[in-house]
Amino acid sequence: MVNRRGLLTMGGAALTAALTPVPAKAAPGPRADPFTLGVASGDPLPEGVVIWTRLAPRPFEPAAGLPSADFPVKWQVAEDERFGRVVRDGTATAAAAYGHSVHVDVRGLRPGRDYFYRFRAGRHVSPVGRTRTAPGKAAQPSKLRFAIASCQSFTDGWYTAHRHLAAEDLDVLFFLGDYIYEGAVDAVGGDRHDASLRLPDTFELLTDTLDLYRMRYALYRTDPDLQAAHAAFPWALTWDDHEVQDNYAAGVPRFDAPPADFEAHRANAYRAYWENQPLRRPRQPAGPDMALHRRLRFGDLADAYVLDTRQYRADQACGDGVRAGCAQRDEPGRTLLGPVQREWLLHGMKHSGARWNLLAQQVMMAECRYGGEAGRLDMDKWDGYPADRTAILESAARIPGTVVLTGDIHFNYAADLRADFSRPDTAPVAVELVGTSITSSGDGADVIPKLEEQRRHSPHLRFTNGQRGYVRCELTRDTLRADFRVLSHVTRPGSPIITRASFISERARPGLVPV
Amino acid sequence: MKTIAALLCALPPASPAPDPVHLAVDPKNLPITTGQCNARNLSVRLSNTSGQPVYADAHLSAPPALHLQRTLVSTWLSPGYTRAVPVRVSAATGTPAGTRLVRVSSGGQRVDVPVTVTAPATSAPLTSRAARVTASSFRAVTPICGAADGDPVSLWADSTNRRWPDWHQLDWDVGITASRVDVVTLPAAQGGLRDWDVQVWADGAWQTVAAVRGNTAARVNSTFTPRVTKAVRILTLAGNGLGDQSRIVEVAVS
Repeated sequence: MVNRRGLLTMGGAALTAALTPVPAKAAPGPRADPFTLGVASGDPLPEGVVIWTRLAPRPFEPAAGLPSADFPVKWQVAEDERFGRVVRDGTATAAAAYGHSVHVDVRGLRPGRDYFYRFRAGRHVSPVGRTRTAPGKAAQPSKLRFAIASCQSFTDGWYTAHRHLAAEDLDVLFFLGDYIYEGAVDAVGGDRHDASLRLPDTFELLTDTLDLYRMRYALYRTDPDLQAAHAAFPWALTWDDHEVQDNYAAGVPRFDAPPADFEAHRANAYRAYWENQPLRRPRQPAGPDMALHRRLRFGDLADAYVLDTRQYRADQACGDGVRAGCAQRDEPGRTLLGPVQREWLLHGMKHSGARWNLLAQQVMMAECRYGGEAGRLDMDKWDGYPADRTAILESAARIPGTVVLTGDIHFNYAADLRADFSRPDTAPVAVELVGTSITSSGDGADVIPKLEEQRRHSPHLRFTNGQRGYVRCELTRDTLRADFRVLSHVTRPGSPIITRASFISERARPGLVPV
Repeated sequence: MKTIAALLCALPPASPAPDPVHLAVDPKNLPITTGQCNARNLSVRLSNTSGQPVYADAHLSAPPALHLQRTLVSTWLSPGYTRAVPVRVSAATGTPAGTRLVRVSSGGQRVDVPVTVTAPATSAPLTSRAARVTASSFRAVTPICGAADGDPVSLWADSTNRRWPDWHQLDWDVGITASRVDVVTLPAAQGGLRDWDVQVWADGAWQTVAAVRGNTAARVNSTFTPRVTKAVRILTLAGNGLGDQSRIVEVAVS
């Protein structure tokens, strides 16, 4: 067995000679640099983390410029950035059948520690990523630092928010969906107006087949700011709708299509999602089905429930959209989570034992009245599925420390969650942080008249803002602090970032209080 | 150091065998005229004839004279399911007439489709003789050529709701004489165009030759003093609600 610990410190020629034998059906390393999409890590456990990369020497071409052959990819995990103390290593396969992606479920690491990782294919070495394992199961951490981010339409602007995120000291980032968008991307990347991009017109097609989804993920992941954020800390990701199609609901597409066509569409989208994210093998889809909901634990401080509100939901009530007086939303049996995921969540919350329960999910849980015609509510959000919301908030009323983390709507909200939103005199049972988009909807503005209107009709909304950015959070044993970090613009690179508002909520007495 | 083997997630290929998949391509022959918006589609159909789900690939190739919008189709197929994918085939203005082959292959199967390329007739509408058609932005379901393909169903729409102006432009390699521009949009109730300028390129700048304001009709004819030009554009200024987009079904220049 080659001593891989010293492998990457050898000279190039010696290194090439020291490569493990190429499997019979595998090809030698690609000629051009295949690490154009960067590296990533995700779903930290006390003893391990998933590390990811994908080979793509020509990322804007079908199959990313690689032949239909498998490639061996060596990997290393070290305690130091210079890889002087390599603690785990091995060789994985970048299989053509999986879009030449590489997922390594590294185990045997120590809890609550920083690690560094990298890959090698032939003579090419990837950028170095940093990751962090979760605290031990019996640990009693004094704090957990995390952020939430979502909605990064490539054509709506630059990923400056990711550049700022990469500079934050985080234990984990929760990405809450809309990692890609399915619509057309022109040659210059839409509002980026990046003449150097020169994308082929294949990107003008709606994504629905596996090859187009793979190309779309490749496009997004070529962005250096996104790569920096992935390389800075582990991510725990879930999807929303645009990873498949705008506002789809389980097996129901937004636009009329034969069920079998949408089933294939969803299967292609889910497959590409797994291939392109740092997810473990059990998450891998079986055709159009992929179990994405899962729990991550951070000692006794927090349990994070990563939810999926798209795959199992009933179709939106009353034809979707913002509706008043929609009785259908209250019909028995309507569910956002699906019965299996809902019971799994409620059982988990009840028996958690952690001081905090984080619900990392997609759509806004707080009731949000849109004004205008009395009582207008958005049927795509939890407002369209009140039975599931009631079940969760009734549980939260009995279990201190519930925090809902949300994406989807390209606005910042800080919301107190009540078991009965019509009773503002009652105490909140939980809090919700709705994080704005990374880019989607463009530059935005601090004050949006629609949001002001919503606050007038929904007094539990403590803060609204329409700029781009993310929410940075710190949990301690007894308090949650949230900093809403916003940019002045995204259609040009280089925006500075400021903390627009900060809130604190106490575990024993939920309710967001401005700092 | 304890050695604990890492668990590798990369798996052997999932059902790689192409044999259960049947490849078909329609039509058997494809005549096209040169010009960006005179493209036509090949339909690539992959059928799973087995009892197990499979992932299938179809590769397309063509000589440089032809442009294929995509050269790969990869998809999951449930048992018995057929996926039909349109692939746009075009030939740039100036491409010599002749027949070229588009080759489609999947596994061990191969289908060659002869594509016969001709130039538009000199009597063909000027829009179909445009060498390039461009726009400020577009959507996948309402592409630029939606307003320049002679199809009364397809349309172009911009992708920047509530942001104005937008534009849609036709360019010719040789000068043409224009004295009338017909804009087909949608009725006002369906979000058709309300305000726009018709412009021609002359003396190194855009010259407005007609202005339409407050329109609610689905078709508007603008006539003006004949101009020799190599480009005509519609500069859109406002729409009739419904997302506040530019929507043009067809632009006809004569």
